Amino acid sequence: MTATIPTQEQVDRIARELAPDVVRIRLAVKPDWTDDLSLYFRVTLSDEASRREPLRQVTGLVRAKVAEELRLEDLDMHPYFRFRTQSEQAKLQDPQWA
Amino acid sequence: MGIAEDLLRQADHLATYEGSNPSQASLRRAVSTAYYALFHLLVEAAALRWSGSPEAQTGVERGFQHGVMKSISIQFQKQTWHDWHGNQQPIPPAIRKVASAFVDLQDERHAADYDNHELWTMLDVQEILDLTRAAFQDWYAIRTDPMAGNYLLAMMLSKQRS
Repeated sequence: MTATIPTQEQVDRIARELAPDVVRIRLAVKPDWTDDLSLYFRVTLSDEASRREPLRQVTGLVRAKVAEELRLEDLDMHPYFRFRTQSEQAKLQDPQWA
Repeated sequence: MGIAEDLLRQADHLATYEGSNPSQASLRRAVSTAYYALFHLLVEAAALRWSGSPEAQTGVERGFQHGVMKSISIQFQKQTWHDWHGNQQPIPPAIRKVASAFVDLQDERHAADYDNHELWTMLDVQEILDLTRAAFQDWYAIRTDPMAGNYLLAMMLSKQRS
């Protein structure tokens, strides 16, 4: 079976499975700086999860879970991940992360 | 201590010296500097493998191009690589992680330097710095592996003979 471009619905399901550490994940499919079509995952973490040390334990788990569930290795698109906290997003009100 | 380590320390400094409310300028410079730290770690490693004069080593370092390094790093994220003889060779996990971090950091650096609409937060940048530090550790652990040499050589050459 060939992996297909993931949908926001699939990503929402993964975010729910990663709750309460993950508040939401927003997916954007767009070209990266070299014009290669890529996947951008914007992950909002709970404030509590973001305080956990080391941070990479949390972010690494999110990356691994998303990659495995969406079979990203089978896709010819690079996945980019960005992380911020719920408080940071509340302050910035960034629509790309809402 | 090489420039790569200096840049990594500078990236840390830029992200933290303003305390809990850093400016967007400092966060952007931290991201950009983190990318250049990994970039220099790799090009210095390639130059050190060149036994010529210091001038020739500088020439080797200047032979690297960001776009080529990215496309080769995409190849080295996969489980195997077709070597110079066309044989499929497994890529050690540490090299795959370095290659993946390189692709990530290069895109982040581009956004940090050129996309004025992109907003950065402490956590964004902390995660990027963690990713860079992990890539340094992975590189130090694997740099003598023959596949590390293949990775560097492939990044230096714009074309691979098929």
